Amino acid sequence: MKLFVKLFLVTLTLLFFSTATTTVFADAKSDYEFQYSRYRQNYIEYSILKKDFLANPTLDNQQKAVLAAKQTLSSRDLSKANFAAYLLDLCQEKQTNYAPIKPLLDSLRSARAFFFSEAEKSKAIVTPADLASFTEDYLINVVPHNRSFRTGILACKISQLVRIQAQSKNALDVILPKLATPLSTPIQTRIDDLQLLGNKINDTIDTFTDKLYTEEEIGNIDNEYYFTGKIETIKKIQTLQLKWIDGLIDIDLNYAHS
Amino acid sequence: MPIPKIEITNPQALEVIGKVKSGEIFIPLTTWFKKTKWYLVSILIVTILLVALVVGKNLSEKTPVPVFTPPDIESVTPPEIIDLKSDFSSLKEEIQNLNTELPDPIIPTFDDNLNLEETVN
Repeated sequence: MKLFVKLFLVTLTLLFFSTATTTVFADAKSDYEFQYSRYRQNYIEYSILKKDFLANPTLDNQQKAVLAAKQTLSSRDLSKANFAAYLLDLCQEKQTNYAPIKPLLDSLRSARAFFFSEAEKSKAIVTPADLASFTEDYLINVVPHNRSFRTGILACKISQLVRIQAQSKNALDVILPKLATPLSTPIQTRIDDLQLLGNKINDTIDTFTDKLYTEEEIGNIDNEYYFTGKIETIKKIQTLQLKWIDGLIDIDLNYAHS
Repeated sequence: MPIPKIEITNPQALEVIGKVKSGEIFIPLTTWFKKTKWYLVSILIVTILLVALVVGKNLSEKTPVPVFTPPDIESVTPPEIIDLKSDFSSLKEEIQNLNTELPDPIIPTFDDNLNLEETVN
């Protein structure tokens, strides 16, 4: 009897933890939103207390300002870590396994770990000197991790485009057995055209992704107009994908039979 | 039972009876009738017309108004448009709904330089 009770309790505990883990994982976006709103509140408080301290540098004001800065640091880095987690979720929900974006996803994972670690590290801050030292190191190390957000966003977009390509290919595979065989020359031509266009879109996506790793692009990453040219390329790919799917739908409606 | 004979002896009554017998009593009436005879005829005609109008109206209300419809003209019926929907329309919608604007999502702004030193603007 005791054995059954123990087994029951262990099962309940396992069930609770597995559910809790899933919930936390599924909610990276809301975690980020919560931490970011905390950061904004803390930042306002920190700004006011820092101003007070600078105007009236007493020990009490100094302690208040350091504490507010510490809280702001923690919420800032937790926000960033959760933003990286949110981007990773966005990229991974497409389940494309597109190898060329793997380094970008690794950068996001690295950023997530870095920001969680910094949030933990900030708990040790006690004095203004600790704060200054922390920020000095942070400013040196944070640059590649901040950049990972920009490339991570592009990785998510590429992931979406690749996902559409995979779905399109599946759609063509579904249509082909429904066509009357042997295929008539016009139909064969249209299918060949679709395959050519599909390959062209794949090549465009590959080229777009490869270009992200060029020195020129990496040097340009902090530029205000970093995304501008990329928007044009994504729009171009979208137009080609629409053309492709229109061709497929036309074949489906006019030639395929269920 | 024999009816008793009534003998009129009142002089005034006798005078009236005498006027009636001679027709003298009707002279003013005849005179008035002669004077107003055209008015009376006019009133009679108007009355007859009014009665005719009322009767005509009642009769017309009881009779249903005939409806005249134009003859059918043969027209070309537009062919029924069948909205054909492919199984892959949802994929097309997905492509159309792809947000091409960047950055998506927006990257939040953070202050990386938190310290207690005076900021020089």
